[in-house]
Amino acid sequence: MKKVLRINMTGETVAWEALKDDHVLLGNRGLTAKVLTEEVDPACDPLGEENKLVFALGLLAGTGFPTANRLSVGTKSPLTKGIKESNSGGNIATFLSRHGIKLIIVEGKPREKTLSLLHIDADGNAELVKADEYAGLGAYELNEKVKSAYGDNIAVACIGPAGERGYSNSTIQVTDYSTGHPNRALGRGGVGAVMGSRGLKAIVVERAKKKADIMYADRAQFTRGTRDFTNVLSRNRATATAMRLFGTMVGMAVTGKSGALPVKNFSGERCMILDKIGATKFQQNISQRGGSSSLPCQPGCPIKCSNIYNDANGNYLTAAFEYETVAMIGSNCDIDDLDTIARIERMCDDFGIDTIELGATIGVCMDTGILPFGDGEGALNLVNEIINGTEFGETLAQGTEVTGKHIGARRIPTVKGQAMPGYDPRNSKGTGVGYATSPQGADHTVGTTSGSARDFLKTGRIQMSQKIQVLYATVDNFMCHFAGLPLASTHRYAIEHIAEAMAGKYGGEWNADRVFGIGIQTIMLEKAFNRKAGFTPQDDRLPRFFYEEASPMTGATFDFTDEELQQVIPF
Amino acid sequence: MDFIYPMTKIIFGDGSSTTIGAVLESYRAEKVFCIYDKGVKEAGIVDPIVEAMHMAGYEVVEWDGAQVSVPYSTVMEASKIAADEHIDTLVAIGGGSAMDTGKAVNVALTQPGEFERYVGILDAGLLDGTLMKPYICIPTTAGTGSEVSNVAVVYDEEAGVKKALPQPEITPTAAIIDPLLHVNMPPSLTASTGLDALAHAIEGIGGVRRNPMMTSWGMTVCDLVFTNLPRAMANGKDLEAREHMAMAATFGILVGSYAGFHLGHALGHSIEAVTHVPHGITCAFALPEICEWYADEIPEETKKMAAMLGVEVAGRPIADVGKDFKQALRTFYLDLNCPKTGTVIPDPSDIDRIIELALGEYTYITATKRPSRAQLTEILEAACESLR
Repeated sequence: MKKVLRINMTGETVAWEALKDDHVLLGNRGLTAKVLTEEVDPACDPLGEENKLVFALGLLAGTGFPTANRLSVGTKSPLTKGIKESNSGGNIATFLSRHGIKLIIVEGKPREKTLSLLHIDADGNAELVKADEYAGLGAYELNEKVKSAYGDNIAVACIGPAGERGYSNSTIQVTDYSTGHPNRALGRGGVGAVMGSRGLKAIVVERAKKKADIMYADRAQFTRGTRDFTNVLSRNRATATAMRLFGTMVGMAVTGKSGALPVKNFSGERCMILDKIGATKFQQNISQRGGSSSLPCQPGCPIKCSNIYNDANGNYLTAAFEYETVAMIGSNCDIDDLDTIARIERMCDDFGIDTIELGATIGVCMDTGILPFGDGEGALNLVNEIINGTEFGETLAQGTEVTGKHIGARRIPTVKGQAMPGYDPRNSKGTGVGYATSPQGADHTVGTTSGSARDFLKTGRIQMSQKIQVLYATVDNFMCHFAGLPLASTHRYAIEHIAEAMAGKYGGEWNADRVFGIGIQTIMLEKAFNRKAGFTPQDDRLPRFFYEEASPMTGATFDFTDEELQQVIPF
Repeated sequence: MDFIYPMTKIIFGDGSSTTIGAVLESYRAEKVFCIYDKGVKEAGIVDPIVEAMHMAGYEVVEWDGAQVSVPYSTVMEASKIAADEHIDTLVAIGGGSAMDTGKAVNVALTQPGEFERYVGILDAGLLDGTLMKPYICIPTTAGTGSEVSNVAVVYDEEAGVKKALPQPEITPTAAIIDPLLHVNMPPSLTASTGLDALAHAIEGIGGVRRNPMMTSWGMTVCDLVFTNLPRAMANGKDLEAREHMAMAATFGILVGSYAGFHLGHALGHSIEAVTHVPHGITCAFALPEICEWYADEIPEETKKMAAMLGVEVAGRPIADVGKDFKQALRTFYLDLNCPKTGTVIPDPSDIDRIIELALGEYTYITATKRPSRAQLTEILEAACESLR
C-alpha cells in the first residue's frame, strides 16, 4: 500500500511515485490534508490551475480491519473556499487497495476543454483515456457505459453533469458494493466541480488480478487488534442493532425527539411529519416493496447500514437512502412523502449534487416564499431547473449561501459557505459548536453531540465538541464514522484495539494518545491551511439568527460567546 | 447487551385486589380516577375494589367508558374528566384495553400538545411535560400483561389504524395481580388471553434483545402455560391453575416486551386488523409454523420448549425437533378448542393483505430470522391449512 499515482491533466501524463515516509502514518482525511498543505497554495482559485484533487485511502485499507476501505477526496473547496475533505464507502477503495494504491493526486487542467477518464486495468496499468463521448452523462448511465467498455468487475468514481458544469454544489459519486450503482457520494464541498475543472469525468478501476501484498510488522498483533475491535462492533448497541436494522434513518427517532431535526429551514419547531417520513415508515416501505436493509456498502462491513429503496411498484428507485437526505429534503422542507424525497435523491445521485446542500437550498427558497413549505412537486421542479441549467437553476446549483443572498433571504443556515446538515445547532449544541469551529464548515461529519441528554443545553458542549472533533478526525484517518460510534460511547476504550492494530501493521509503540494524535495533527493541518487561505476566528461563527431566534420547541438559542468558541480548537 | 427495564411494583396473590388501600398509601393518593368497562362492572369485579378504596378514605372518580382497542376519543373523554376532577392517581381494572386506556390517559393528562405527538413506534416524541401520575393496574384477565408493560396500543379512529404509545414512563407504577379475579373468565377468554401470554414468552425467547435472564423466565412461562392453561380451561375455579396462569401472563409480557416480539405478533396484529379476531388467538394462530422456522435460530431453546410438550429431542437434528414441536404446539392449540381457519381467516384472499401489513410491522422488521414475503406467506398458508 505504498503506491502513489500522480495524474497531470495538463500534460495528460500518469506517473507512479512511492509514498513519502512522512505520509505513511496518515490516511484518508489526514493524508489529503498533508498533501494539500505541501502542494497547494491555500490562496489559489479552487477551480483554477493550481488547485489539486487528492484521493486517499485509509491507514488500514486492504487489511481486513472493519470498514477500513473508504475513499477520501481532499481539495480546496469552491463552496467553502477552504480545505475540504469528503469521503464515502462503496467498493472503490477496496479495488484500489487490491492494486496497492494509497493515493491519487490529480493536478493541472487540460489546455482545451476536454474530458478524460482514468482507467486502471486488472494488471495495475493506469492510463488516461479520452472520454468526451461521456460528456453530460448522469452517473447511472455513465456507470452502465463504462461497464460495457470495461466489464462488470469494476469500481467507479465519477462526476455527473453538475461537476462538469463547475457547480459549487457537486459531488463525486462512487459505486456501491451491494448494488453496483453509483449511489454513494463524496458529497460535500463541491468536490465534483474540482474534478470537472480538471476535465476528469471518471476513475474506473478493474479488479486486480493479483492482490497487492500488505506488509505487517507483526501480523498476529494486528489480527488481535482487529478481532477485538470487530468484537466491539458486534456488541455495541448502535453498530450491532440500531444501524443494522434501520440504517442511518434510526437517527430520525433521536433527533425528532430532541428537536435537533431541522424543520422548515431551521425554524426550531417540532417535526410533525415523523409518522410519514420517520424510521418506521421508511422501513415499512422497504419491507413491503421488496427492498432491502442491512446491506454493506463496502465489502466486509459488519455494520451493514445500507439499503435498497424501491418505488411503490417494487422497482429500484435508489439505495443508500439516508438520514441526512430525509432530514434536509423531508423535514427541513416539510415534504412529507418519502417517495418524493427518494426521487429527488435519485436525481441528485445521477446529476451529481449533494442532497444536504440541496435540501438547505430548497428550505431557504421555501422560507423566502419562492414556493411553499411542503411542496414536494415544487421541490422536484427546482431540481429540474438545476438539471436543465435555467438561470435560477444555475444559482441554486451554487449552493445555499449563493442562492439565499440572490433571493434576499434573511435566514441562511450556512457556515463558511456550506449548508448545515440535519441537526439544528440550538437543539444539538455540541453539533452547532462543531459547525462553527471546524475547518470543514457546517458539517456533521466533524462530530456531533446529537443523542447526548439535553443537547439543547450548552453545559460542557465546548469540551464535548473538542473531544468529538478530535475523535472523528482520528476516525477519518482509518474507517467509517459508524465504526467509530462505539468510541464516542461506552466502548471508548476500544481505541486501544486500534492502537494494537496499528502496532501490528506499522510497528512501534502505539497507545490511545498516539492514535488520537493523528486526529489532532489532521485538524492542525487543516486549520493552518485555512489561515493561509484567509480565514480568521470571525469565520468560526453561526449565522445571527441562531443566536437571536429561540427554538419554539425548546426555547434554546445558540448562546455561545466568541471567547467560548475560540476555546474549542485552540491549536 | 444492554437494557432498561422500567419495572413495576408487583403485588401478587389471591385476594390482593382488596389491599388497594394500602398500595395507594405508598403514592400519597387522595383522589383516584378509576377506569374500567361496563362488562367488568357487571361481573361484579369493580365494586369490592372501589369499596376498599373508599374504606381507606380515598375519593374515587369512576369512569366506565374503556373500550376495546382504546379509541382516541375515549382517551380524550377520560382525560378531560380526570383533569376537571383534579385527580392525583390513576387506577385501571380490566383487561388490556382498560389498562392501556389508563396509560394513554396518563399521557394526555400530563403532557402538553397533541396526543398524537407521543405516538409512533420509533418516532414518538419525548414526554417533556409534568411527571406521570402514579398508576395502578388490576388485571382481570391472565394474558396481555399490560399491567407491567411499557407500551400501550391505541386506536386512531380518524386514520383507522392502531398505533403504539411506546413510552417507558407509562409503565404502571404498581400492578395488583389477584388470580381470584380470573375465576369467572369464560373458557374462550381464558384460552385467548393464555395463548397471548404463551406467544409473549415464545417470541421473547427468540427476540432481538433476548438474554439469559429473559430466556429463563420465558421457559418457565411456557412450562406454566403448557401445564395450567388446559386445567384452567377445564375448571375455571382451579385456583392453582389460575394462579399459575396469572403469573405466566405478568412474566410473559416482561419477556416479550423486553426481549422483543417477532413474527407471531407481526402476523397477529395483521390478522387482527383484517378479521378482528381476538389478539391472543391471532398471535398464536401461526405460532407453531413460526416455531419451526425459528428452530435453527434458537436450537437449544427450541429443544427445551419441545421437550415440555413431550417431543423426543435427544440426539435428533434440530429440523426434526422443530417439525415435531410445530406439531405438538398445533395439538396444544386444537386441544384448547381454539378457533380454526374458518373463523380466524375465513377468506383466503385476505392473506395477501395480511402479509403486506405484517411486512410493515416493527416486530417483523426487528425479527432476527426474517422470512421473505414468499416465506412468510408460506408460513401463514401452512397455518391455515393445518387448521382447516
